[in-house]
Amino acid sequence: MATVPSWRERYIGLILAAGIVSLCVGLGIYLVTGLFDRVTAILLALGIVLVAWYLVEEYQTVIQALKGRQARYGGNTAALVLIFIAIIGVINFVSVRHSLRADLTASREFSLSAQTVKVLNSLKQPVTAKAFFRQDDYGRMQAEDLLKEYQRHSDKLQFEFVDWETHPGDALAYKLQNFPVIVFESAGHRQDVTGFVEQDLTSGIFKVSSGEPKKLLFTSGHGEPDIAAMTETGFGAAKQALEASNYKVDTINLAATPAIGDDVAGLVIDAPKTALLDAEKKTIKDYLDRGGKAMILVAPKRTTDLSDIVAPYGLKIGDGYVIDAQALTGQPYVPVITNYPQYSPITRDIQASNQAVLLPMATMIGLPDKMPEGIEATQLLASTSRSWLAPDEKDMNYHEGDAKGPLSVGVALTAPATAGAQANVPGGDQSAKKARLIVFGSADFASNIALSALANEQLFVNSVNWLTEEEDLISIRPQPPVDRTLQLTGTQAKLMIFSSVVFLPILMAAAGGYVWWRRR
Amino acid sequence: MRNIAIIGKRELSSYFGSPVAYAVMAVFLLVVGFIFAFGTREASLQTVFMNVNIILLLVAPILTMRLLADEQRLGTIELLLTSPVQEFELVLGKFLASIVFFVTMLVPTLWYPLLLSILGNPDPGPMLGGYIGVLLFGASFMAVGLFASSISQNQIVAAFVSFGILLMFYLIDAAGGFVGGSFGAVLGYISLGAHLYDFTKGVVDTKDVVYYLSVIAVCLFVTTNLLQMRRWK
Repeated sequence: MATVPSWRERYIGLILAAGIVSLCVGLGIYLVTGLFDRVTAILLALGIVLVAWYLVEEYQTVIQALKGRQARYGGNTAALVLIFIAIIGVINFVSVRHSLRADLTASREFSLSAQTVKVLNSLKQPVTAKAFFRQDDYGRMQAEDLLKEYQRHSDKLQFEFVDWETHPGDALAYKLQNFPVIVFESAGHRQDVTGFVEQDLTSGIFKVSSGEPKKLLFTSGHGEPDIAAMTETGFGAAKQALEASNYKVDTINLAATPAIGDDVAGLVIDAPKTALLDAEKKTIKDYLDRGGKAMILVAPKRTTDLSDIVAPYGLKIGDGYVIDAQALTGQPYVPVITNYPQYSPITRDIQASNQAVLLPMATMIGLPDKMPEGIEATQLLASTSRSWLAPDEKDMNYHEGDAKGPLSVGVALTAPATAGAQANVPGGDQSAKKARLIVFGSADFASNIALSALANEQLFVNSVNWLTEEEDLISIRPQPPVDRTLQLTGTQAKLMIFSSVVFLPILMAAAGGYVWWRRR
Repeated sequence: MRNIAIIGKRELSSYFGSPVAYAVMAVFLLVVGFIFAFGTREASLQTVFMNVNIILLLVAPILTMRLLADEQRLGTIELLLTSPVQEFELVLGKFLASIVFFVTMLVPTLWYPLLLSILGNPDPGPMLGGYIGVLLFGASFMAVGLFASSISQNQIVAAFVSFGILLMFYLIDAAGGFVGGSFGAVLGYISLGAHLYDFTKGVVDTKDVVYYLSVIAVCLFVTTNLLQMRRWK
């Protein structure tokens, strides 16, 4: 009999659809939130009820459909497709594990240098890296890309990223103060790394896996600050920071030591108050001539004359205080340095992350117009142009004749060594060692009271790292990245806009117009 | 094999004979040109490549909606399928035609790297890598569009389905970030856009290539099977 379809017949399809949607939404919510709460339960129940209702109503049709040829064939096809997708899934899984990549960049910035690969291949003990980064910390993506790439070359390297903000406990366990940082550990040794380019990571891995901490000696016997003291003027904090970077820090009494051994990675001459003996100066000179590494910290008016040591390198230590009128601390003789005149691995990351350093009581380090033969100097830090050198601590005002800013307050240099050398890094360059010297016009910046200010600790540790670096590791991309900014003249900019936004589309539209016209 | 070429050529002449296709290409060039001219600060095509995702999301469905939907509507598909042409030849032929068309759409954009070389010092590696990536990326969009076109007789429906699928892929990327753990990792992997990133940096990684080829393979496989099912209706 011909009938008007009842409402049930008309809407049964809708009921099925609603039931399926309800099931999907419920399932979806459960998958995303992981909670099986009332809402999810209701949705799933509703879905089941609706679908069941459909099945009951359309019982006959459903049976027919399932038995029909189309269903069988459809079922076969569905199975085939699922199997195909599963196979593809496996292929992808394997491909992710064993992928090859080609680095097309000009500076090969995404391939590891041959040296890094050698260092990774020569790892004997497992190395773990804990990278303390927040999601949007500077350098995170870079560090992660690199660590992933490193891991491809050595299964002895494991790494994990820890958000130090949401997991302060982990960070505390390592006594970390400055972030972001990567902590490498291997066989009981530890090396903290605060730079995240390839050189920093490889260097860190090398140091932590080569076992012995490097020996760093502070001179003593001339009224230098006490490296064991945690008082305001002591250097205990600096010692701790260095030990966290795999250094063994000790003192040396040069008056009682005829020569500085080859096993000493670096010497720190920390604002000696009383004069150095001639014999001591000679010991230092011999050490540097052999390719030794030294850092000199000068406290103006409180440090003995060190010109005998620095003059051969062309440097002149100023006598006075750097007063910076642009003082951001409210105390003009505590300049905040944001001026990094020349590129250096020591200050690279500090500058890139827009940080500053605080140099309380600083004097200037003078550089000649032309450096002596073979010596390469880099100005690390300078005061602003609104600064001058006040020779008298009682009078901070500028007087005619005072040296005017910008004044150099931190200099790093390399000088040729007169004696032979030995490479320590696998795959490293066996050519001559160089002496390295860093002179800072302030000693207080690394004292306990100031070390935790701004980027002071990073500056200090980076400097020691640079100082004691194996030359062989230096060759990993020391150059700054290529600047490719577009500088366009007005005409060029117009050309760019017109050709891409106007000309090309119109050409294409014209072609279309031609085709349309031809079809008529 | 010959059948594939015949189908492909026929489809291509259909593409190039249609003014609508040129209009779509012109709009594509306009938008991409805009991004290039006003978004490029340094001598690289990164900005363009990273934004091509959205543009193709809108353009690809329009370019592919016709491929099979029309044949089904006009009934010519029965004609094709009763001939000695096999389903996979039909699918492959149409797919290749859409790829050739896509490449044609990209060719004018080669003006951008040329211009950059004249005006600045771009690194050719990432530009080359980016184009390879966009090619694979676009080919996947075409494959999805072809599939969508096969499930309906109506072109508009096909375009919407295609758009919906591509949009879902686009959103899965964001969802992957939300949902943590291994499920989130799988979601992140499925994202079409995520695999483009390495190419634009100048890195050609086999895992990304395998991924795009997989998407294409699955779409073409399913489409072929769908057509086979129809034949036996």
